[in-house]
Amino acid sequence: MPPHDPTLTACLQPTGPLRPTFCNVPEWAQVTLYVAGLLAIGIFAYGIYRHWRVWMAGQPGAPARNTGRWGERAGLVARYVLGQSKTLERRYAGLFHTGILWGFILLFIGTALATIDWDVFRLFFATRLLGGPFYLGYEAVLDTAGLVFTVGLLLAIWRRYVTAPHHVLGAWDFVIWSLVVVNVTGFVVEGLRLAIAPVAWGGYSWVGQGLANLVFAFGGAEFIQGPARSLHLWLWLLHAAAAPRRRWCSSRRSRSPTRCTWSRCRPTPSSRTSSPSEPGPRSSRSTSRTPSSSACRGSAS
Amino acid sequence: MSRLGELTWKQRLGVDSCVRCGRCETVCPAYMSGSPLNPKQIIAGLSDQLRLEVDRPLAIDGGDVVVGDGLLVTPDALWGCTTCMACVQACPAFIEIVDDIVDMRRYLTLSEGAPPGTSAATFKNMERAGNPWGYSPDDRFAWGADLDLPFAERGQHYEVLYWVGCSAAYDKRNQRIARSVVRLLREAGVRFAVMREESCTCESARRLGEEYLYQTAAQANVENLGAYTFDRVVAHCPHCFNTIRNEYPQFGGSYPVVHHSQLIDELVTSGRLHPAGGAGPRVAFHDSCYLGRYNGEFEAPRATLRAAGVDVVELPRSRAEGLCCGGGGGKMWFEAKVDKDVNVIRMEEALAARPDVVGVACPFCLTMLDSAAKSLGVDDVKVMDVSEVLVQAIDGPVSPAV
Ligand code: HEM
Ligand code: SF4
Ligand code: SF4
Repeated sequence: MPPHDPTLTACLQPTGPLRPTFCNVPEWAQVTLYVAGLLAIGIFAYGIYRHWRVWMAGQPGAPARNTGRWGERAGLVARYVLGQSKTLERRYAGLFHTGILWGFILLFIGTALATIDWDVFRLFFATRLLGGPFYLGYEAVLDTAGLVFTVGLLLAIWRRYVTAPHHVLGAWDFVIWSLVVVNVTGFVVEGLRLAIAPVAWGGYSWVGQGLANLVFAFGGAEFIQGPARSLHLWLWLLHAAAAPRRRWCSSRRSRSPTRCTWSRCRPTPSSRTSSPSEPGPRSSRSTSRTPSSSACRGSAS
Repeated sequence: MSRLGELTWKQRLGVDSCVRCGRCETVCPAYMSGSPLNPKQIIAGLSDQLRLEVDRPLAIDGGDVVVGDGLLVTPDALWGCTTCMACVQACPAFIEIVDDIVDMRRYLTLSEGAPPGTSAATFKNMERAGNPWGYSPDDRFAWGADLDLPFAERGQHYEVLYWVGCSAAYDKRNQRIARSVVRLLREAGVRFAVMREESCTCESARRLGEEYLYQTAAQANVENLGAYTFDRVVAHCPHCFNTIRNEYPQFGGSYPVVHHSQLIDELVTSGRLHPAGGAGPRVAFHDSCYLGRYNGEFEAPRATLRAAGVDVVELPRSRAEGLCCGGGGGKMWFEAKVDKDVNVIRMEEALAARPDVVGVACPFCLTMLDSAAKSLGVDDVKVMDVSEVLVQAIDGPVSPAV
């Protein structure tokens, strides 16, 4: 490891556990990240603003049940959003929703802490937040969260594409696949980092360390200091770039500029119309749908 | 509502938050029956439309008309809804789907003058005769001619005012529910009265979009109720119960309202009613949407059955997940062609539990499931109101009205 290489110096933790930031990431990529990050925040804010406009174009007035009682309503948010008790009314769906949500919340906190560590603590207070035992706990929690997140995504993919009950059709695929890419590349990036610059406390990043061990098993020092480093950088870029987006209109626009057509509403083979894992309607007579007509009944097709 | 510009911000926020999960679709009895209604398609479609329209100057045109034949939301789809609330209960985004559907129905009925099927005649009857069939208002209490019914008098104080509702007042089969309730009130020594001026709540008209008729009826009923003194209102019909309890306060009529099963449960618990006990029949209980999902009362009708010594059998879809009988939302008053009627789907589910009796807590459920039993050719399983089951436990089968 040539110590004069500044991008590699960033990988080292000579004074004990301390989060390596921009390990193997050259300056141009760092600048790109900040610029792209600001851009992403701008796009996100615009998206919120657009939804805000959708809501605010409405008539005034809300039912009494939607006003006041702040404490009670905050409790409902805790129960239904954080606790996912609505999605959990159906076990399989609830399981992966909860996994994805909490994986994401923890990783979000983790990424935010990393930014605070690097761009606030280091720059303004000349100290670091993510060091010592706190950092080791941080690594263990985030690796676990990432794994929970990934398993949740795989369960969701299984249901959307394999069991594929009729009612889940019409969702947008990009979000789910891009999240898989982000999570998988995240682990591979971590694993490669631990291969490039091994540390004694790598076991706290237990998923990443597992991948690093695979690299050690199959690649020599030459591989690690050569192709593995480029791979690390490119996957780092892909990881950062695969930030998910949400589609504005769930359906394709038809020729008429003001009509959406529901592109996913098409007949499905009857074998796919009810999911065995779905504890919805249980009477067999009522769940088996005839595939004859358009599967989404109604006007749009 | 026919254009999205007419939605409140709250409705728009709701529609915009549809995640296309399709839970509403899986629980919708109309969709199961093969009606053109798919709540997911309606809400997701409106949501797309909202987002397309927001970049246009909404203030000027209020948006496109989205309700009509060949448009985003078809009348046939809207008329398929039984307002059972199963979709709202299932929706993880808490979208008030039923309110949106009824909003669009209001447009069809009031602005387009196009209510479904024969319901226009039903509205006429409600308006003229104060009941959906157009029977004479003078016959409203014919079911109790031999019962020496106590009619409410001004200046007198009653423990409960018994609101009978049209179905039990005029429907031959359902008159037995009213007779059972009277029997139980007398057995428990409750000081009660019925109200001579009682007239249809027009609840089903409201669900079919006939808001004016409903409001006129509500004002008249609230005015009439206001003339008497009582501690609470008891209704055995969950539709009347829901209307008086949750909607009459907006018309100035706030009273404690209980469902007959709640009152019975209370009377049994306090020892005012003591059924003999012993082994009752095996009863599969079918939850009423308007009692259960709308008002959160799942226990009282079961407790009533248990008081009758009944072994209560739970159906696969019960309580908050209960499946509608198909009769709500004004669906009692017109027919629509579907693959398989909701009441038949539900009755088959109930029969699969091998009960002696299918227990209900709503006269509309009773009618719907009874007619399903007939069309399935079933005559060894009876459909009965919980109060009838209890009366039977006390003194044998209820005699029909004279
Ligand atoms: C959708 C948002 C994101 C998700 C779900 C996500 C997920 C993950 C996961 C699961 C890991 C594996 C290791 C761990 O759990 O600690 C990881 C690692 C990593 N992520 Fe992300 N990430 C996201 C956004 C970002 C962004 C915007 C950056 C900025 C460039 C970033 C930089 C990194 C880096 C550098 C690692 C490697 C950490 C190490 O070497 O220990 N991530 N990410
Ligand atoms: S209220 Fe019931 S019938 Fe109407 S859309 Fe919802 S689930 Fe379907
Ligand atoms: S259940 Fe709610 S969020 Fe899901 S598709 Fe139906 S309306 Fe949309």
